[in-house]
Amino acid sequence: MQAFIDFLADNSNLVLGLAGQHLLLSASGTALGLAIAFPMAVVGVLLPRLGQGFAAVANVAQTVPSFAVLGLAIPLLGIGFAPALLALTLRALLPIFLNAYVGLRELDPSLREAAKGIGMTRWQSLVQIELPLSLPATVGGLRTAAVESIGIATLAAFIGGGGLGDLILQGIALRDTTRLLAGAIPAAALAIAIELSLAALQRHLVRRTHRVARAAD
Amino acid sequence: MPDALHLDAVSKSYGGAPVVSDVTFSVGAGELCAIVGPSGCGKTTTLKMINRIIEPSAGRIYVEGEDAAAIDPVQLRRRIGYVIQQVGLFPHMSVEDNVAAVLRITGHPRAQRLARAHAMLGLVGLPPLEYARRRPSALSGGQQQRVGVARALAGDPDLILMDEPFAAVDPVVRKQLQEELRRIQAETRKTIVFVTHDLPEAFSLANRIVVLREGRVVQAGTPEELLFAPASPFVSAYLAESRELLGLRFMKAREFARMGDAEGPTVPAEASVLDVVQALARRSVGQQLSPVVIGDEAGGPRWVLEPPDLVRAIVGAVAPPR
Amino acid sequence: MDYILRNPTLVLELGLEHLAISLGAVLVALVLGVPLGITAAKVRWLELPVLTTAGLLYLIPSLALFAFLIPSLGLGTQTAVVGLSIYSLLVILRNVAIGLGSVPEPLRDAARGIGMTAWQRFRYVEVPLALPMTVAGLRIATVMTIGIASLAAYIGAGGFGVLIFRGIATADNDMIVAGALPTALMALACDALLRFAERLARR
Repeated sequence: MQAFIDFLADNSNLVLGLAGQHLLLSASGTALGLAIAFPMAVVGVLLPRLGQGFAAVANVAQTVPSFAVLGLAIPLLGIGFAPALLALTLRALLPIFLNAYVGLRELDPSLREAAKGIGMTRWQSLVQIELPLSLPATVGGLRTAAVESIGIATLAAFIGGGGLGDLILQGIALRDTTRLLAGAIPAAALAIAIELSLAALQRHLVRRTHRVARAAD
Repeated sequence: MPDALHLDAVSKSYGGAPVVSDVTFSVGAGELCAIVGPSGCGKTTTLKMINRIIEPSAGRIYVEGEDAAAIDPVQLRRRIGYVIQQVGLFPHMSVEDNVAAVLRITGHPRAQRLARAHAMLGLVGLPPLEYARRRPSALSGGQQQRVGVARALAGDPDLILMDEPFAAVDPVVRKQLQEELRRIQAETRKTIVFVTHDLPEAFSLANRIVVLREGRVVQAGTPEELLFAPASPFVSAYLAESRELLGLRFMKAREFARMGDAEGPTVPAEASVLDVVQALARRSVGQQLSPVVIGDEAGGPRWVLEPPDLVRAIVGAVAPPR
Repeated sequence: MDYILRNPTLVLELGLEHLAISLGAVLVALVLGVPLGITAAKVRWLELPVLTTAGLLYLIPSLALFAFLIPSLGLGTQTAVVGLSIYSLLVILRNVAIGLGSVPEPLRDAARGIGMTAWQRFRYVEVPLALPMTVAGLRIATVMTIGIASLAAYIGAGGFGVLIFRGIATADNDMIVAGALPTALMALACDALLRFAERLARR
């Protein structure tokens, strides 16, 4: 324990630097995934048959292990940051799309009917009613994607992408437990922190969208 | 002056299976028209064709003389109020924002929208100071539907469509809401088309009733016409269960009375047979049935309804259809 | 792709190794996870702490988890299997607990009402209803394990990961694909099989 703390103290720049790299990689992949998946979900709702196709493909693609995706990205982009980013983006895209899409589709149909009935255009209904109400579901997908991306980013170390995985690998190679933990603990901590904060955000959004419940008449 | 609403041979089929066939009827300005009929008769489909939530397969619908098919559906719907059974209040918006929703999409500035929303909330019996900022989830079912009605009124449409608006609410609250609707309609003089499966509701609210069966109009007319001049055995049978109560309410007591005066409870000249029965029921238990005096002011014409004639009136209402 | 064709026996060997490690871990997870899940569902005050802990442990990135295990268990297959078992355990436990917890109370009351003992209720009402969720958990755990097992090659276990790592080290793209592709296919195949089993469980 003491050795661990000493290590962190002596190498704080290194650890922070790697953590920063790690976060950058995760955040970029998640953000890119969001940027692609969110419009995909909207398109999927506007064009139902296309949406079903997307969903079917996404469900299958979800099954492919992340390390395999990483491996398959290498022949395309070489090693380093690029294939890691590609793998991360693809893996983030899937849960965000699926959650956003299902979230939109599972909205109470009477809300859509009321919106249509008062004369909202499709776009107005989407922007004012459907998207705000499906936000908790979308954030749920974002949460899954973000947490997973921390994990995948640790793998980036294998292909020269940097991040906290570097410390873990060094620790394994040098049989240095301290170094190993110096990579593993921050990585785990990051994942937990992201999960807890996004879960809190999701709960807050659910409260704000106030599911309609019947009080006693 | 064209009718507020006119349907001309309107039909709807889904893949060859007809749901609504050749429906024709009119609704005058300021009238409340109820569309009734057994389950599956196409009444909701017919209603939804008026604001083109569902597009007709054939026929024409004229809203204030204009062919609805020629108007942009979004613009059409902004001119027509729409209240649905499940209410459909937007849960992430406050009550006042819900009511103001129509005005927001037609570009009214915020202050104006909210002022109008508050006015509408007052109209439906929800004091704005108390209710405007609340969320729909904090309201009871009856209150939510009042907000739904307020939302439909916000854009000041001349025509309002209601699809079984009070069906999801418990009977006591339903009665209150029906009263409110009657009052609101009297105040605002809107034209209302109202789908319901509750016959007493239709008869108590509507000036005009359209009876549908398997997608076709069986009879369209005033409540009295339906009760006392049914167009077919189906109409009589359909009204049969509710006939007694409805009949008593629509039959004028003085039609069974003779001119004269007597000692007994008094009811107004226009009172129905039901009013007479209720007046008698209000007296204390144990008293014998007495004649009932019908008349308004001292000096005006008076009639007396003797117990035997009252019984005849009731039997007349309850008798099975010929 | 060529690599697979050129070295079919090696790929097959690694495949069997990979399967053995994965299925072994899942089996351990089943044996431990099902009783634990049942306990968590039945003992009211255990449910929340157990599920929360499992949820938190699940968040730990796989490489990090292996890293935590190495100091005590060293490198090699056993460490990999332990790590993989832990992940599978967390998934299966959670699904068993939630599956049992989602049996509607009115149904339990009805069973009690017609005179079933607690064991009979469990066997004839709760188990069949919780089964689809449990099989789903088994499916998710298996697919996940096949994926993470490819990683485990780095700490001395075998499997397709061996090819991926060697390919990275020698900059041999063919080798990398020879490891990554079969892993993906194995995961997809197990997913399809277990989805079928899930559908059977729902009938």
